[in-house]
Amino acid sequence: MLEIDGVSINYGPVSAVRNVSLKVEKGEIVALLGPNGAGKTSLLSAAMGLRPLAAGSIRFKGEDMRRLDTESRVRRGLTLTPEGRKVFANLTVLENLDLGAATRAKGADFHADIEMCFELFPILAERRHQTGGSLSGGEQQMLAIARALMSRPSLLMLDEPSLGLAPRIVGQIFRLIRDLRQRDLTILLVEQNAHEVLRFADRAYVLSTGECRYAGPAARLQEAGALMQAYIGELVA
Amino acid sequence: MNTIAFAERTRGSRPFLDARLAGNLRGSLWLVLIAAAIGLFVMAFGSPFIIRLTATAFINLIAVVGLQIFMGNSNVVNIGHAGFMALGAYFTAIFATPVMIKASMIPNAPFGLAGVEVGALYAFLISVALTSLIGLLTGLVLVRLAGIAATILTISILVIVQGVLVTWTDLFRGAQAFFGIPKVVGLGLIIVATAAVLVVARMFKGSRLGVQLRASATDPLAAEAMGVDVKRLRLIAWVLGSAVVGCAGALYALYAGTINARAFYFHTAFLTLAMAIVGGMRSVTGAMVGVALLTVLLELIRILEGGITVLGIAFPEMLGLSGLMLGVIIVAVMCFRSDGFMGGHEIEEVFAMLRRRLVAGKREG
Amino acid sequence: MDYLIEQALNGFSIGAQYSLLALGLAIVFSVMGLVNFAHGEFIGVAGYAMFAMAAMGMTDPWLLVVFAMATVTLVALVLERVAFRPVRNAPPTTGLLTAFGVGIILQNLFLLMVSPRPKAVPELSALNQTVEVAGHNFTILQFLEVGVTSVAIAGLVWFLKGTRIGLAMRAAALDFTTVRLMGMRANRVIATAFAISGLLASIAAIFFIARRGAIDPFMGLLPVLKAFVACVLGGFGSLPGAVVGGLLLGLVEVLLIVLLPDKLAGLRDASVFLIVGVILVFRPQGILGRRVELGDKTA
Ligand SMILES: Nc1ncnc2c1ncn2[C@@H]1O[C@H](COP(=O)(O)OP(=O)(O)OP(=O)(O)O)[C@@H](O)[C@H]1O
Ligand SMILES: [Mg+2]
Repeated sequence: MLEIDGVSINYGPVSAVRNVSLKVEKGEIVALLGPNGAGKTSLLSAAMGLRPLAAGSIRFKGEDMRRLDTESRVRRGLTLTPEGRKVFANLTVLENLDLGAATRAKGADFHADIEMCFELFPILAERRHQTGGSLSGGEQQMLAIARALMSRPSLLMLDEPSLGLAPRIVGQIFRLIRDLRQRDLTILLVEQNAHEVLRFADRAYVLSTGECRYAGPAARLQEAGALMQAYIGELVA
Repeated sequence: MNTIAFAERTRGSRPFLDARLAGNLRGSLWLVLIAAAIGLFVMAFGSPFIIRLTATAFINLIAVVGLQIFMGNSNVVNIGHAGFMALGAYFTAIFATPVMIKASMIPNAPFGLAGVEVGALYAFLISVALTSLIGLLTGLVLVRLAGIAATILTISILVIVQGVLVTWTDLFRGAQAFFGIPKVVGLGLIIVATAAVLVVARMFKGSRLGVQLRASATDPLAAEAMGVDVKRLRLIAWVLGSAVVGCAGALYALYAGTINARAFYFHTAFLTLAMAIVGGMRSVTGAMVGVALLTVLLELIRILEGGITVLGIAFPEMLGLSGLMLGVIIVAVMCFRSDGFMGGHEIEEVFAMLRRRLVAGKREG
Repeated sequence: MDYLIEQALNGFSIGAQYSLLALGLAIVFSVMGLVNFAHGEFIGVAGYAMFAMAAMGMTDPWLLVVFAMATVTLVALVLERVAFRPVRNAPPTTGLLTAFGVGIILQNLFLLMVSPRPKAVPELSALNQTVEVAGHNFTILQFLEVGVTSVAIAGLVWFLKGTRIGLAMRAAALDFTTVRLMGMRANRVIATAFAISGLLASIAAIFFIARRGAIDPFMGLLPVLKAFVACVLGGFGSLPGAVVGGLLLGLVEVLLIVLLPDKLAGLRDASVFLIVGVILVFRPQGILGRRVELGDKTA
């Protein structure tokens, strides 16, 4: 579904990502792992068209994305919940969800989708008239995911959804992500919480200092020492 | 600027500082040489009209350099400088104009100023001192503000100065012209003053204070975290800039002999601001280039404006054409080269670049 | 007492105009961080549009008003496209100076194409007729100013709360990138902000021109400075702040007209700016603004 091929990304003279290739097939949960500064966020931003590519190509559903702006990519079913949640702090929960559906008309299924979000996250229903900024960190993450679902994506990219959350909430969020697969959703998940994620991901990539260190089944990384090796050296898949 | 490099630089080992000092001196020297060459050439061969134009351009240059000292280093848009020009001009006028003339012009001046006459040089010095003092007072308020609020305050200063000049008729003659100021300054003296001001601006920019100020303009939090007192730095730049701008006003009064409050309002403020922008306000060389470019260009357009005949075709009078071009140039510069013509570089940096390119070219060819 | 009521309405009606201008400035600033120094020139655009129409023989006031509003909105959109889009991601100073250049261009276009001298636009002068309400003398214009401004503000609030693009504009004030991640077109959001700022400015312009009955190339400068003052008073970028700042400014101005003798009339503008300076000393963030530390993202 998503094919990232030989992508490099620069920030001025600094090279953040070098020649990285990554593939996500329909129905998969793919984990993208790696230490701080590995270039994970940069790669997702580039996939959304927020950063220019220095080299390589990005295809989504077979279509070349390089010519398309961010907005058009969303319209084609590619969605990102950004790192740090980024809920609209001055908008209410309902308004946040409304904006999440910006690519769709406000018809009957719009209201159905709002109800679906409230079913998935009952707490948001309670807080529907509260502003995004007044929610707790966990609630904000749920809102961010719900907001992303409102665009009815076919591929959902999540950038560190567990960041700064208590373990109990993290468990809840991960369970939810696994459930989303049942809703015909493909997921690319960026995480630091490698061990938890590898338990339910199909395949995994490990990025370190801008280069791909591992690409293969998630299960293989669960073997003793494999993850460590991938982080510090090259692990041949 | 990278924070670490900045830290290294502010700590600065001795030899490095001296190299920088030498570079700044060399750069100032180039600017002074070019300014003096143009000035002397005009003095020797120019028609009275060209001499007048050059003198005005040099006075504008002093004002633009004063503008650069604050704006270029602190990155706050300043529109109040025309007010300081007015203050410099009027203070000079009040102290330098002969008592005889003042008796008929401002007989009721307060503080017995109608009976004071100190000579042009002292009037100049007093005027620059008073302007700096007002710079200090306004600066104490200004440095507390950031961004657009600071810009609004500079506009406030301009409007307030203008209001006081126009209303306080006993001292400033209000909307009427203030005349009879001794015309003791010619192009020669203006060149000398310009040279001095160019050196001052370059030295300030290259000094530790200037470097810290520019670093804090790009990254205020980092600078404050490093213990740099940003407010104090901005205050110093503001007062120094005010003094230089006041100096431009004072010279103008002593050159023209007649001044008028309306001449120091938004029009002058915008014109000098445009000069700073077009040349590139982050460098002193940029100030000079901007003044030169716009002076020549606007003068050429003004010929068109009056309506001319080219190849038998008579063009009609086109008032506003110069202003239109001014605006177009500003927008174009902002869209395509927002750092101005010089891109924030100083003259010696450009020379060094050219030399490198030349050497590289020779090696290839 | 009579006098007081009359002057209060006067203050509110002048303040309403400043509020409209300030709102336009604040909307554009909050959405794209641009300090639109050329905003005052919208008044000139409205004025010269009406003048041109009238010169061609169309003097129906309604037609003129509609034409002026449409022209200003269109010009606002064109300016965004041509001048402000190239500097959209540049530092705030670059945007401010670009706007400053745009202002100079518009002023000189008026000067070049029409005349440096003031021109009469008498078609709206009928609005200056006085009417007596409960023993007080008011002009029709004063009621219109307060009434139309209230309606415009109510409409704006509805737009910002009730439409998706309005939501996007509010969200963009804090985080434009994430708004784009929602699939909202950046160009559309910004163009809408400009259209609204132009529309509001055109309403203010019509009132200004009705009051003065004449136009000149530089008529926009002082109002835009006052609108800036209103914004700064209210807290730059805050929409409620712009309205409150504008009204406050109107009241202060009327107060100064009442208090300052004619001999000191030249100090009216100076006093307004002096008051601004004093307020900024004690509340650098404005009256409704939040405290901004050096280094925060501001203009
Ligand atoms: N805006 C930027 N300007 C300059 N360099 C940047 C910028 N954003 C990221 N970088 C650099 O690019 C590299 C990759 O950053 P990125 O945020 O993609 O890493 P990451 O894998 O998401 O890290 P983390 O797990 O901490 O979120 C880092 O070295 C970072 O310093
Ligand atoms: Mg990241």
